[in-house]
Amino acid sequence: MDPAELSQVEVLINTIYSTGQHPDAVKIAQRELLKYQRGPNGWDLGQALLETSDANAQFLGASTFLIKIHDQTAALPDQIKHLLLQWLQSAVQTPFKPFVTRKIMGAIITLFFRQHAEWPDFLGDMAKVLSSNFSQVLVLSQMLMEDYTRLQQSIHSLRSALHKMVPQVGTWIEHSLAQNDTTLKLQALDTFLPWASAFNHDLAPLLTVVIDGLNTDDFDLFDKTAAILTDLYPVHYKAWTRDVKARLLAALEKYTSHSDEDYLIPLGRLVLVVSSEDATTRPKLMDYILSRLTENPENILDDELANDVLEFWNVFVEDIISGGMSGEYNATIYKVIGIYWQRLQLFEMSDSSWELFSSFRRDFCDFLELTYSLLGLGLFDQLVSSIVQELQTRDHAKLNWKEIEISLCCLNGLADIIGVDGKEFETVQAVFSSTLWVDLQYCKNLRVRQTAVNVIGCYDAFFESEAGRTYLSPTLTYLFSSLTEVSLQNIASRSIQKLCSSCREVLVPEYGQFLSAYIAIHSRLQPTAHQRIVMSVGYIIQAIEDLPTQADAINEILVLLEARLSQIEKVEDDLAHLRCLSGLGKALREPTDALILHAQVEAARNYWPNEPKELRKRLLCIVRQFINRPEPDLCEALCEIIKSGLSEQVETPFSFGADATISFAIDKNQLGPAVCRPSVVDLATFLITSQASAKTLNTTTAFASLSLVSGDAHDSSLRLMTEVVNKIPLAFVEYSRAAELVDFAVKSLGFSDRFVLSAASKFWMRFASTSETAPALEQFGQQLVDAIARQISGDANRSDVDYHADIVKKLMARAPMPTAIWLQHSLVDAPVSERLASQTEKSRKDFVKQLILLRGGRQTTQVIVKFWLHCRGLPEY
Amino acid sequence: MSSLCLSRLQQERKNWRKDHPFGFSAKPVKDEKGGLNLQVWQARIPGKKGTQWEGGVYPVVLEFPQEYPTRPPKCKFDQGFYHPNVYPSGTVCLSLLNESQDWRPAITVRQIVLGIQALLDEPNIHSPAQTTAYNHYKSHPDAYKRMVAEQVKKYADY
Repeated sequence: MDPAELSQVEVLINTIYSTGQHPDAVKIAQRELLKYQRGPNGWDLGQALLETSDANAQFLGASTFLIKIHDQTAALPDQIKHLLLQWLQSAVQTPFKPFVTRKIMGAIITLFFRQHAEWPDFLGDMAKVLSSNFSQVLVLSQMLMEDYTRLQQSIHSLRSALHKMVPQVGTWIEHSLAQNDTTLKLQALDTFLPWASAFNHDLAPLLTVVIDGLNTDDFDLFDKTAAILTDLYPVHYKAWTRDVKARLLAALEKYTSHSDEDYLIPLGRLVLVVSSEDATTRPKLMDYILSRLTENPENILDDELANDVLEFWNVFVEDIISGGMSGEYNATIYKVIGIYWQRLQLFEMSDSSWELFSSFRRDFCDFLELTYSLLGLGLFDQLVSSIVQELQTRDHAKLNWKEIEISLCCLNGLADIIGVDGKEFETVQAVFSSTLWVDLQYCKNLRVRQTAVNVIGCYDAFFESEAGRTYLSPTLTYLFSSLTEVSLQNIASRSIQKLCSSCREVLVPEYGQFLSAYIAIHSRLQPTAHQRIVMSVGYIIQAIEDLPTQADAINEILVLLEARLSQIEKVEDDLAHLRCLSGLGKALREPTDALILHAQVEAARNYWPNEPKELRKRLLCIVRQFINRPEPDLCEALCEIIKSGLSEQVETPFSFGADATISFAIDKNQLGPAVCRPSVVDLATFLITSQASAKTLNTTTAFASLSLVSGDAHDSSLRLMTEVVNKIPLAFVEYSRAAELVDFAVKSLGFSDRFVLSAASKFWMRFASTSETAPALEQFGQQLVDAIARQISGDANRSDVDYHADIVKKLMARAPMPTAIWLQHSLVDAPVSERLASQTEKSRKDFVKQLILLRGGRQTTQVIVKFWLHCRGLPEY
Repeated sequence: MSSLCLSRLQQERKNWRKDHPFGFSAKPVKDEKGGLNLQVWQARIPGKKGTQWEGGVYPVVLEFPQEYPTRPPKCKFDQGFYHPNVYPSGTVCLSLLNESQDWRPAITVRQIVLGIQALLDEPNIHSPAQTTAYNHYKSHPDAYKRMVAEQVKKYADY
């Protein structure tokens, strides 16, 4: 080795290992060093570095051998093997630092993997070199198996070679475990794990020796033994014969009385994994797991085994269910639930701990759901009784809110399992008829109140039932009172909305109270809660049969919102109040399942346009007031207000009609800005759809809507055009700017925006399917096919080809003759692009021929994709 | 349900219970008879901490086809969920859930829900699924932020 080169390498090593070096400098040095290691003098460099007295240099010397062995594809000289064995011998005798010795071992193992066929007595050689130093022999054996399992590919001959070593390795492990040397025993266990994982059947006899190792006072040994058995138990079933299992279970039963705290975790893990399979036959172990639950002094967040224990009980209950052992273990399961009921009660904690805690509670509720199929209604009984008894036996000032809260939390968790028959409602009724909702007003703990509010929302179906309706009003009163607390508004308003929507008729007599409650609280409501509460009151108002009374109630809400909207406020506030209005408009719609009478429709049609409060006019006035505002969100909110009453059969104050809608759309379109146009065009599409379903759509509305088409709202405009073609095709053809719109739709096919393309494709498919547009198709067909031909001959993105193919399919199916002529022209006679022209005439002709033969059939898309690939020069793709 | 699909879903359920990402939940829904319908799971995905989605817990339904795990599950938020990669129907557009893209049978429920959580704050602009959120995200970041904030409130845990 050239001394100059070696000294350069030593400088690099120094850079890598000395402290305070810049990371970039270290990276550069590592890169440089690798070049030397991989270079023609690599073997010499490895040798030279191992000869130094610096451990880091020695390590890199060994690593150089490893790299060279990896790199060299040709046969390796025998000399390398001897050299490495010599170095290992020196490393053990000198001794070198352990990390250097391990690196040399790593190089030898890699060499063995390469030459295993020519190295039959590898272990014997190693034992000689290592002078039967058991600890080192075990380290090497461990590394040998670990490195093998890391190999990317399985080599059968190598596995056979390793398999032959099992008896020898087993003997070494057994011998080491029999010694009175903890370090050696720990190393033997480390070696056992990878070998047992790979050849579990062969090493089964050793399992008993390992199991016996649980009988130790040394915690480290116990910990490692338990961890190894925990790892091996669930996966290596072949090794776990009946006798071996029995031995382990007996050992565990003995150890479950272990009082040392440190042992709890490793022992607990092992017991859980073993018991998951044999829980019902091992009462002692089950008792141990129960005691783990009860005797654990820590709170559940600090309990390392909490998740494993809960998983155990899940598996336990599942086994009982699938084994059909119902009833037998109910007492045990109740006991488990009771323990969790205690341990999951609220305690003082930080917000981050609360997240963890509530997440665990959710997991527990899943478990609770599972147990329901065993425990049935009794489970509800227990929870409800715990609440009712507490309420009955104590004064509200002395109530144990934590116990009540956990029972409510469990009831929340069970809400999903209530069946259609609602037999659980009879039991739950006791909670809703109790003094709970009055007493809660004295409860200072916000989390308790949150859980209580949540219960109401989860049991909304109960209030719809005959039994529940009695309690609807006091429950809603409680919910409204909860709105004063900002942190409860979100969940309370959600529950209020659910209940008011589904029970609107029942609540009509009390609408005045709800209106008053809303008026009292409205200025303190957060935007989302505000919108929900307006909608909730709106649902009840909708159910009022007398229209003047309805108008009065709407007026009260409108007065409040008008006042807020007349002030100059932030965009967010305006937006929130406009959304309250659209929410009110939606709430006033007839429920979808309502039976609508002709008289009712007539009455509303006659009443609303001329009612004395002039609600409709005032609402339109608000819409007009905001028409100049440039914010797209506000424009969208205005459109939502208009939409809310547009499709209603039974008119509401929000049913402004087609003229007012079109007038707003045209004005807003002109005023802009461009960013508002998509909402306006979507409004026009909504108008066309709703007018068509009401059979009141006429060409005037259609023409006016089409005048909104604009490139600023590209895909929205295409959807509007599609809807017009769909609902009133002649209007489209007769429209004075029809040619301009068709041109717009043709050009849209050249866009790469997926939404535009999708909308354009749908438009053309609709256009081609309608007989009224046939003359127009005749006129623009060639232009359309030219555009498609350009795209399918390579211009389009691969993922967009389908959109064009869909149009071709429709054209071929609906108008095969002219389409064939157009295709022949665009693709063969006068190719529309240079790329297309560069394809052979034969390939273009064949393509057209195939399309014609398929007549729009399913395979058309495949054929078009193939042609697209061909044009892109990817025929084999 | 095929036996492969059934055994895999049972294993997924077991693995989930044993170890699931913090704050997430996922479980099969009940069928009409009160038993479990393993082919439909209801999951709750929290917005990632430190992102504008934090604070909301978003419900997602996972519908596993008969051919699962050869074919991926369909994952759906509520209809109208605001996100550039969620279709108006609520279906999530994610390469991980696309059979012809990144789906592999080895992908677990855990990876799916984590993938969806990551997608919330890192939309894929090249694969938009709804116009509103896509246009806002691309051209009106303020409106996008506002809409996301509103949705977070809507799905706030409390």
